[in-house]
Amino acid sequence: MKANRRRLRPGTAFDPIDLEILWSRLIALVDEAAYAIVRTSMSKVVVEGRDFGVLLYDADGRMLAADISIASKVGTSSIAVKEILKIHPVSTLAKGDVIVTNNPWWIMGHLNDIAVVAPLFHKGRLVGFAECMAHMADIGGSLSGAPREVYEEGLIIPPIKAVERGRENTTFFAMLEANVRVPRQVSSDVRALITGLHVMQEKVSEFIERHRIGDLNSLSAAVLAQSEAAMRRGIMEHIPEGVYEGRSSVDGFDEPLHIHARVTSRNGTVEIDLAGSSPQSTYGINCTLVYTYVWSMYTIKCIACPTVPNNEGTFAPIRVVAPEGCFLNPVFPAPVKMKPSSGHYIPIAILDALKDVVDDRMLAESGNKSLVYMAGRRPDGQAYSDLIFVMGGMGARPHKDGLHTMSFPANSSNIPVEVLESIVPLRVRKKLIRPDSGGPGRYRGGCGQVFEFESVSPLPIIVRAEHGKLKTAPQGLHGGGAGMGGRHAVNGKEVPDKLPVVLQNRDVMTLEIPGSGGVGPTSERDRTAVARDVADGIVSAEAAYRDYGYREKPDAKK
Amino acid sequence: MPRNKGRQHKTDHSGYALGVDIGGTFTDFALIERRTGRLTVGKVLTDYVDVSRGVMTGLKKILEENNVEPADVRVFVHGTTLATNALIERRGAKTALIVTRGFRDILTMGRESRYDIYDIEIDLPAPLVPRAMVFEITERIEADGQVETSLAKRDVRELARQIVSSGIDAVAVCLLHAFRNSVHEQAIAEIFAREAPQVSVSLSSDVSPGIGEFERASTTVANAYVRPVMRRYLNDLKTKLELIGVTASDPLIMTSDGGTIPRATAVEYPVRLIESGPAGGAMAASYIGGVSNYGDLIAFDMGGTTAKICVIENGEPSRTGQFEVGHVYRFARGSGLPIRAPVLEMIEIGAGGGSIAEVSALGLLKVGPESASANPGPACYGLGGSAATVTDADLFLGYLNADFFLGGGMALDRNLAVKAISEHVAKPLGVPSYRAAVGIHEVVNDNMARAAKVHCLQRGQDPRDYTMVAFGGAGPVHAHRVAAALGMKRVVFPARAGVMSAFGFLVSPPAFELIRTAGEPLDNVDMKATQSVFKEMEAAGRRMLEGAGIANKSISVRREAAIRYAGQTFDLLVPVPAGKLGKAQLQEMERAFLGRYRARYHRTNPGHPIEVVNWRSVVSGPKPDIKLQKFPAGAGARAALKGHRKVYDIDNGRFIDCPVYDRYALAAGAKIKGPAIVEEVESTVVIGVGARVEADKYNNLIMTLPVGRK
Repeated sequence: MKANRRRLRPGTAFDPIDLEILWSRLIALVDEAAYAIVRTSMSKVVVEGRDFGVLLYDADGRMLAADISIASKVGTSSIAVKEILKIHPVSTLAKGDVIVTNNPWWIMGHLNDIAVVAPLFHKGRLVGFAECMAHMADIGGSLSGAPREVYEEGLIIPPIKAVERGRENTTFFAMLEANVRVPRQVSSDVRALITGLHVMQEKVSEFIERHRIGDLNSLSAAVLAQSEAAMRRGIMEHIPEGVYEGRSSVDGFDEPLHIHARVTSRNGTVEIDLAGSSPQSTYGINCTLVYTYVWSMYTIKCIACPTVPNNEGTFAPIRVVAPEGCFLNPVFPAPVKMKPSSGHYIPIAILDALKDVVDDRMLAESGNKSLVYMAGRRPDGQAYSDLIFVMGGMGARPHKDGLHTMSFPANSSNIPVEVLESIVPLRVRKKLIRPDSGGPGRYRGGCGQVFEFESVSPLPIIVRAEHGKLKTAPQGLHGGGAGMGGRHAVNGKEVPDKLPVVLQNRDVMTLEIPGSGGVGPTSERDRTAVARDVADGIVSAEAAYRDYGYREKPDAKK
Repeated sequence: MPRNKGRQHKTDHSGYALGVDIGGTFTDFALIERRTGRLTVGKVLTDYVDVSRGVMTGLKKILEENNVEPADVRVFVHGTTLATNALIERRGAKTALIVTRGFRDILTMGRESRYDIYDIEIDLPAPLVPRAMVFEITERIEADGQVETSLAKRDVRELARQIVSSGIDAVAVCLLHAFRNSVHEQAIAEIFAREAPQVSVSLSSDVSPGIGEFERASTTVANAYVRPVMRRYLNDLKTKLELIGVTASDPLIMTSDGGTIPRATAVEYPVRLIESGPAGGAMAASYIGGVSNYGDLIAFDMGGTTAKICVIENGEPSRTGQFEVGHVYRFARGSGLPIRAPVLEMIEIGAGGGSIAEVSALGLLKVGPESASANPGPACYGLGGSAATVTDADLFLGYLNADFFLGGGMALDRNLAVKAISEHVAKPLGVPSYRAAVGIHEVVNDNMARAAKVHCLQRGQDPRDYTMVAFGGAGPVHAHRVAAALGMKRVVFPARAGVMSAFGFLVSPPAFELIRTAGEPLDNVDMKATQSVFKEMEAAGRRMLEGAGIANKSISVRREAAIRYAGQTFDLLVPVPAGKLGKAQLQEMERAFLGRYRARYHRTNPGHPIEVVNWRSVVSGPKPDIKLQKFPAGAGARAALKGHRKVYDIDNGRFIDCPVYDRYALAAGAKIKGPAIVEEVESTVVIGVGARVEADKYNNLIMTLPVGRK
């Protein structure tokens, strides 16, 4: 301990070689916990969709590491640990305690995201906290309508001990299982998260022992300082000083909701002020402030410093402000279930603000994705509830075409059709790229897709597909054309976005997911690229002629 | 006396066995005189214009050098990166893909996931088959295997003609749920056999029968894409071998999962050959460990660009069923083409002699995964490379000898190494040059140790219980520190580490893995049906091996099942007891599953149903009975002492005067105490303070690390 004190001072005095090694080892141990969750979860949304996250905090509750490559949650702004400590002060916590909550104002913005938090001890001393969170396949609540309060959206779990000194709280699990449609799946997933906490406790203790550092505080200070400095440098280098304004909108229910972002870059810091955005909605498309943070900070990180690991230092130079009562900072008990269908459009407004001052790390508007919840019962009485993602196109970049069926900003993964059909009683009729849905330009936007399925169940299937922005086409950048918008339909008839529909046997639902915008004038597009797109059927002959003045040679076909 | 007790069988011991490994830069040869176990090795540059010509050049050379008649080559085992290169460099056949109507974009869409969420400029690998060459056919099979829409055979015939007329050589077929019911895929194959016999057809239900249409299509397409290339090459090679008189054996081909298969099978399933080189290395490590009676091993192969790590338990390298080839972004998972085929489970890290050291965006020292490769290579090569690399640091620290790199075949320039480290690492980090060099060495070691540790722990294994086998050009230089970081107690440095893969081919048994989808609860397995599934797989495997001249009675079968909790995505492999399947056997499998599950995840889910995902059969021939020649005992290590040089002692933080030994002059039983350096042509063994090394009778060096370190 003494011998190490010289090197383990907080701040930049840390040797850059030792810090690299310790830091990498720290992230590796968080990754181990993430692997344990992936491997033991029962839900496709966790395993295939990777909709979960693992975070490590120091004893002061500062987030110092998150898993890097396994989960897709960008859950860098959970304030669960800080809020939990207000209710369960450190003095009341013991080794083996696990606190569970799904407060949307603390974690990821809706009740489906459950977090478990454990205090971490080393030799009887509190050294930090671990948090594992994941999207649950179901959380109860109404499937049939459009909730007006969070109470209608499912089970609210206040911060309570799910495990106390290593003993499972059977009351909690009984309450949980009684309130969700797929009890075994959800309770297994909560237990998978708890497994992640066990791994963290074991590994963190080993880590401290091995490096004889006593606790995580000195390392945390160095990691945070280094990350903050890197982010400041990144901001200075990539976002010129100034005040920029950008806009975006989402479909909303009755009328569109507007996002207004005022981005101020000054001296290595960025402030994103969302004042002027629409007021809180009566429908569940409100984003709690933590979720508004997630996408605001994500956007700045992509531009300024994409390679810095996530921790509290990385995000320290970024400030996000949204007036209370606006739909990006709603007041309890606002309904929030469909927060992705508005939160995913915050980056669009920020990118819009910065489009003329940021060169490379920029893209035209993307087609996002539809989240599709499917729930029902099989004839044998067994319930199912799962969530799949159907991706739109990712916008063109200043030097590259966009990507087909690749969701931006939120990443996830599809569920193989063969797997989907084995867990939900439906038959997928087509899953195809939508030609011409990628906006034209020097660089073409990525195309969206059409995903069509029919019920093969004798019992009704409740399906709720939410996208958030089907009506307005994703816009091009620097003179590039817009992509195609989208629609959701049942038996050929358009149905409203975000509202549940009931599919009877043989009913067919069709989801046309938007493409994305192009970049630059079409006159500058490489002819061979147009020819290739036409040959591949990505661009139709008519669109090629209309947008690029390109005519296929009569003998060139196949 | 044979070392592999119980495994050997009576065979003809006359003549020679020759292993040939075509690698990216070199083609390696390992020639064993079977009676004496004398091993000689050779290396030639890989001939990219005509690969088989390169093989023949090297082959003639090594035979001539050793006065061996071509007719005396009784066993010829071949591994090649040809399939891999064809995939990476996109030089395969013009290939079409046939899919179920409505699913034309399986390949283009992939898993619709970004492997790096913060990189807006992300790229994905282009599919091997462009969208224009993907054809939809009317048919549909349901998730339970029932036919919902029958196959539009007339359309298939029409398509076959169209494909022939557009000059397409290869066709992959991947229909939805074909792994459950292959009737439509089979019908398509039959139609093509009649209508377009010249087109080679790969069926997903045959090549990669598992759930998940993208991974199955990707694998089947890769197979189809390289098949014509592989067939041409192997036929050409066979002809050339016969021409010079190597007629005793049809070439055996090394697979990714550590077995050898007949040429005809290799042509059928070239996707099984992709990782043959690394598999050869792991099989060699298993063999070398075995001769010293170490069965639990970690093979550590560090070359110029990457390091590969494979865990071997009780002599058996661990196996898995999926990997990626042709990563477009460093070694990021998700940035390559997924291949679902049996493969030895390895992790590959962007850490090699050529790995570049630089200051990261965080202001910290970062090493790899970018590599200076062989050209321009590390700064010290003097070929114009200016980046500071691991090799530069190793030279700076005295681990490498500037005048004896590749046995003196290439002079290294220490001044260039010092300059690169100082400019690109020391100055920007604000540390002295020696600290920067030590840092590079330590960071790359930690990158490897960390990855190895996570890999072991994910599998429920503790690396401290294992012996490391270190090889590859840079492996022996870094092995000591990596082993120490993992808390390992022993490292084996095999002789002739430079051609480990080619040698590994010669100790690999003929073997082929077959898989059939199960998808049933473990407590409700249809015993009778399962029994016949195993029988059918084993018969197919036996036919294949008998075709390669292996006697039926020397063929053995290992049964396995992939099992998981119902609803989970990841499965674990457990052995299926041989013989008749009954309740007791199923319970044994359940116990094995729960044991492995608990080891990995620290808990089980009592009461949760368990299901069998698929049944597997590995049908193998006997392990080749290879006995290496022994080195005589002789004088102590002093006789092999070449001299001393300045070498950095990391534990004590200073340069010391370190003894340097000649590997080839070490007699059996010679002992060396660290710190010391042992030089050989292809690599350098670095022995740190506190370690002890003994040369065994095969010239393998066995290093013992001081206990108690972590």
